[in-house]
Amino acid sequence: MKMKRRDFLFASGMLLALPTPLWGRNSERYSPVISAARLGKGEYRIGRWDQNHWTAAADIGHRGHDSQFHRQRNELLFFSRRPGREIFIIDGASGQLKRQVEASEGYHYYGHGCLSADGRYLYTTENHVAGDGQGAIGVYDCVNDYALVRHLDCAGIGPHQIALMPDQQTLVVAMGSIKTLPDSGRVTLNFDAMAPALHYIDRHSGILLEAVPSPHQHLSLRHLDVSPTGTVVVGGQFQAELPTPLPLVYQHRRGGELQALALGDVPLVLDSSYVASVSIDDQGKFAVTTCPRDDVVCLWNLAEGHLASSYRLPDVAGTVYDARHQQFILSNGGGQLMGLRPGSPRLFALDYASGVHWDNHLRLA
Amino acid sequence: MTQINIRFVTFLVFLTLALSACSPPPEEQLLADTTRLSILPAYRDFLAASRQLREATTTFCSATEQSTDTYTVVRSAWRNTATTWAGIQSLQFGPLLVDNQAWKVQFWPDRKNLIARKVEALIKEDEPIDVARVEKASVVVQGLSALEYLLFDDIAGQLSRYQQADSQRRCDLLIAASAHLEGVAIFLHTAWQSDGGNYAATFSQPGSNNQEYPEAKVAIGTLLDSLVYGLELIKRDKLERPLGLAETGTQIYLLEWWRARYSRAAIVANLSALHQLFSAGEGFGLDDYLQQVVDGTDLAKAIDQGFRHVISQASEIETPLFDAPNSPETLAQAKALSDTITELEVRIKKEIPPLLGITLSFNSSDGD
Repeated sequence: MKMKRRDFLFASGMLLALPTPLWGRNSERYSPVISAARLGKGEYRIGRWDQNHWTAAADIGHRGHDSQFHRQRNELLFFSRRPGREIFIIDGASGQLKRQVEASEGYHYYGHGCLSADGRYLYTTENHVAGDGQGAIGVYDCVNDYALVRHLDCAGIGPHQIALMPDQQTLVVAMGSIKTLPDSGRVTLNFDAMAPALHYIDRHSGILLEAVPSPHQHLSLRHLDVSPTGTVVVGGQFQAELPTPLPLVYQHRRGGELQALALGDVPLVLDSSYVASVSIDDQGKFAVTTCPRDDVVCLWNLAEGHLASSYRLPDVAGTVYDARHQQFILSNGGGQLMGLRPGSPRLFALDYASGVHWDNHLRLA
Repeated sequence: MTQINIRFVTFLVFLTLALSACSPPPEEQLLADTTRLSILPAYRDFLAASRQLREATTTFCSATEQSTDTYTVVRSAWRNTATTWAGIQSLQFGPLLVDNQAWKVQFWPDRKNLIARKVEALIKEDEPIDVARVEKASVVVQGLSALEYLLFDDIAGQLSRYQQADSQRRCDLLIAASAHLEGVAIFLHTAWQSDGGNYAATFSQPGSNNQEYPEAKVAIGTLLDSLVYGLELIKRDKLERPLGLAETGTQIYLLEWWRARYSRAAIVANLSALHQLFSAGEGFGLDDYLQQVVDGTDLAKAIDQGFRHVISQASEIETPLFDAPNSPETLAQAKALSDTITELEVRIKKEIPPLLGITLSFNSSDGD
């Protein structure tokens, strides 16, 4: 088994003797993050934030959403949320906006995407507006100016967050199943016909390999993350009467059932029943979910299948696992970046961006 | 005449210089006064009340025969502690959030009647019941909620239960749970004190070297968040949901302190504490800040009036809220109270943040 550098350092007992510059930059408390944000009324920014300042930034005309870091090309990709039709590409070295990809005629983005492991292809979740709101997965060739290669059918409506499975061949998609069309704004058009699910799709053939229905017709599955061993954690947003007594967070392994993560005996009521962001640590032991409408962060023990602890963070937004610093990072609408380590009784402050309202998703870059 | 004017002007110049040299910026004044006059007294009162409650349970249980008089004292000490808890229930920041201290004080709502089941299960065990046992057990058997069950439940909370076969273990749990609660109160109080965790300084001295409050507006936003949280908690969880004021039906066992019939009193205590948090009493509170710094005189007065109104509305409800489902008049009063609390909450949530340059919730709406 290949030993990671960290493990080696621990094993050799050298950790304490190491000078800090070798371990990380002297004052670094977290790895640089990328996120969309709102600055002021009508002012939106996307970019990378690192120890108290933007190191890449572009101002855009509407609210941004999720992003990806393209390691091989050193680019930051930002996806427009519905009914936006742009992918913004920022040069990681210069920090400048260098390209803007437009959705095909008759399509718009849902705010999420993922990359193939080799960095060749980009996969985005899209609404085929001209096709009466059927969901699609756009496949783009990163080395050919992000030209559209084709659209894959995702066998449903409202594909939302998408991720690549550890086999590097399968895409997992949270099918929100909320049909909206730009002409009618964000109104749900298919309330009685909703069928949210988790879909596993072959990224080459577009074949639907496995469909796992949501435990409730109105529990829209929208956000997810995948562990290095292939456990998918998915968070729901309940679309009917609130709050729902249903569990909101589930874990899944291929071939199995959705397994609810239990709250246990705690007086925690998630009144808005709305999970906005999901992240899993590098060992697949813990997952974090954020509930902005209830100002709550949940830490889940995946092996035991229940809540490990919960924290209050007003207007909490994104979450991402920062392996280098062995912590989850959380952002919020108040410009804060907070750290969370399993076992710690409280969140701790990492950084603060004055006047910046972080949006719902965080990534590392 | 001229001389007087010159003297007067000179005096004013000196006065201005002196004041600007001594007085902190208004934001820090606001945070310092609110901490000193609203927050610290609330933690102090909670500690004092929980100490008395522990003393009262000890006195009651150490008597050779459990009497009505001493039992009345214990119940009254519980009510007093619940009142002081209502004074800090909405302060959702700082030490109260460390390891979810609030859950140790109150297990609510109890949708599955866990308190009764788990308290009775603990009493039936063989293991000695002491503070360590209570600490090790789930939050369900800790704090004011478990004590409410032991003191006020229609069956388990009757004096006769302390005069029967298993009365010793019931008394053991009364003493252990109240001592555990006092421990929580000591932790919270100490964490705010200058000779303890000194969270008072953390909260009232924002700045670039203060990681938690790098700017005054983060701390002021926290105060606003507490006001909104507190009002929403009363409206939604203490009135609307248990009494079925919205479209859904009555769920009376979700009412706070239903066993003790203490729901309305706790609401009045909540509202008074929130009013105090807004005004910092005679000190320089959010009300003064709105009036003197950001041109919000009318708003400050309207909110002050709003607090006075909801407090008197709540105080006028005479029938216990637990009996409201059978009393149309009480239901109407509760509905009216809920409506005015909503108006007050909306004003605070919508009108104060723009004046202070604060955004309370960005991701809460339309998140995708």
